[in-house]
Amino acid sequence: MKTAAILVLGSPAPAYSFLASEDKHATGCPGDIAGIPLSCIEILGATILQRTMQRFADAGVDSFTIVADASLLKVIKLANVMPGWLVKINSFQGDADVWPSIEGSLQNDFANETGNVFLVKLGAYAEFDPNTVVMFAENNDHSAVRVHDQLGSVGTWLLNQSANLEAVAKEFQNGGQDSSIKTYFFDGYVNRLSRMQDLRRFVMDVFQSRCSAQPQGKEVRAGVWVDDGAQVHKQARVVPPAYIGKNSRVGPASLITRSSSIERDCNVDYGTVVEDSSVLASTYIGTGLDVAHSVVCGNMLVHLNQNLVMEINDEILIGRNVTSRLREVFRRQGKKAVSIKSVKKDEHQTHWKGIL
Amino acid sequence: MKTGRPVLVMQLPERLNLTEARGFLPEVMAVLRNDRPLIVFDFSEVQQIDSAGVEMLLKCLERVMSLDGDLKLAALTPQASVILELTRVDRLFEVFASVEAAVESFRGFSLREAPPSAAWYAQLPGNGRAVNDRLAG
Repeated sequence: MKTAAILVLGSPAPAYSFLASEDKHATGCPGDIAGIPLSCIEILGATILQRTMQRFADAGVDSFTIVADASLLKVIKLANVMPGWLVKINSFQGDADVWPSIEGSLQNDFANETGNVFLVKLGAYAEFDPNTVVMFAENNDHSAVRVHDQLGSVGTWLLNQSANLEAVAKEFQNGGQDSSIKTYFFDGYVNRLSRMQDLRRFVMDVFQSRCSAQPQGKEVRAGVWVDDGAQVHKQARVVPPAYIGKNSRVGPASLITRSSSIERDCNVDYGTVVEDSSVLASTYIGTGLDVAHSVVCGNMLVHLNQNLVMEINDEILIGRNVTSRLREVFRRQGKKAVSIKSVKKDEHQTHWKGIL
Repeated sequence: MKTGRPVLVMQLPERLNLTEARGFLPEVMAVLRNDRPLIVFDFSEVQQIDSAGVEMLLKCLERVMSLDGDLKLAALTPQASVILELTRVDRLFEVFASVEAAVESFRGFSLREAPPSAAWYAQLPGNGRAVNDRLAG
């Protein structure tokens, strides 16, 4: 019997609070990063959306539908290059349109002889075994099952054709628990990713093997993962555990330490220290800085100890990485940015470690 | 990620001051001839460390890095720990509670706790522990 999954991404302002403070308005912070939900942000080389899909695919789910706000479509296309997977994307506009889109996708799946459909409200990263949920539902003859850990729902339901969709809709939209839906409890790793601290915590949990997720790329030495095209200067120090993403550059005399991660297309410049921090994709960190206990994304710095978000409009300090910006310009013009990179590599050929 | 290369454990003297560092540095440099050396400095007997000692550590690290190896610190005494933290040299190294753990870390990456400076981590519900621990705690 076929199993499908419908993954729902909320509007650009989902119920995330950016910081530990629940009062988003008081801090003036958006509920996401530059309009991108946390589940679509690459962390350790892959998004939570990709990791969730991979877990379902590993369990034999062969058809995916992503239901997302229209404004997120561009992000999803960027974040989900899944060769060989059947992924449909349905968009909606406004909250009122969410459930009709899901219902349409559900009916479509059931019409295609799909026996069970996982409905996933993306947000939390939960490591339950989808096959065990299917077995629980089938053995007990339940038509609708919600997945819970000890702290509550993880935003996943398993439905079959006889499920009471009205009850599911009510639960999906308003929370609460309907008696017609049964609960499957599991005892594995869950990170609810409800604020920026959770993102960092996910990185540390991966590094400390508290969950089964792994950094992308190659483990070049114990506890140091380096992805394709990354360049680490000979005079830079990377203290494990650490992750350096695709095409990122760690400059001379810089230090990456205390479970830090540098995502793809970043540039950590000369003499900068990145300590207990995550530098998100396409970010430039200027020379001689000391970035500690933070998440940095473009010109935005979230200080986790201070519980503070700062927008720094000085590209000498932090900002979007010029290389990635130029690459975008070249892409628009139909040229290859590779030529720029190769010139740079040749210039410093003798000083760069060959981690490619 | 595993390596089968030998790991050299070096016991540091009780006083890591200018005189001792001058004597210890040539000893270390003498063994740093092979490519990609793996070294552990055992701090268990270090009761005193000054700037000369810290400088000696940095020189050793520089040399080890130039040979594409790694240098780790183990069994730091409170005195050594304070000085390394004060000079912010501690973040340049992986620090382990015991020599065995440090040697083992060359064999494969192992579970470690969050750094004590990560105050935000301690404030999180669950503090990174498993769900069961979280509920029990």
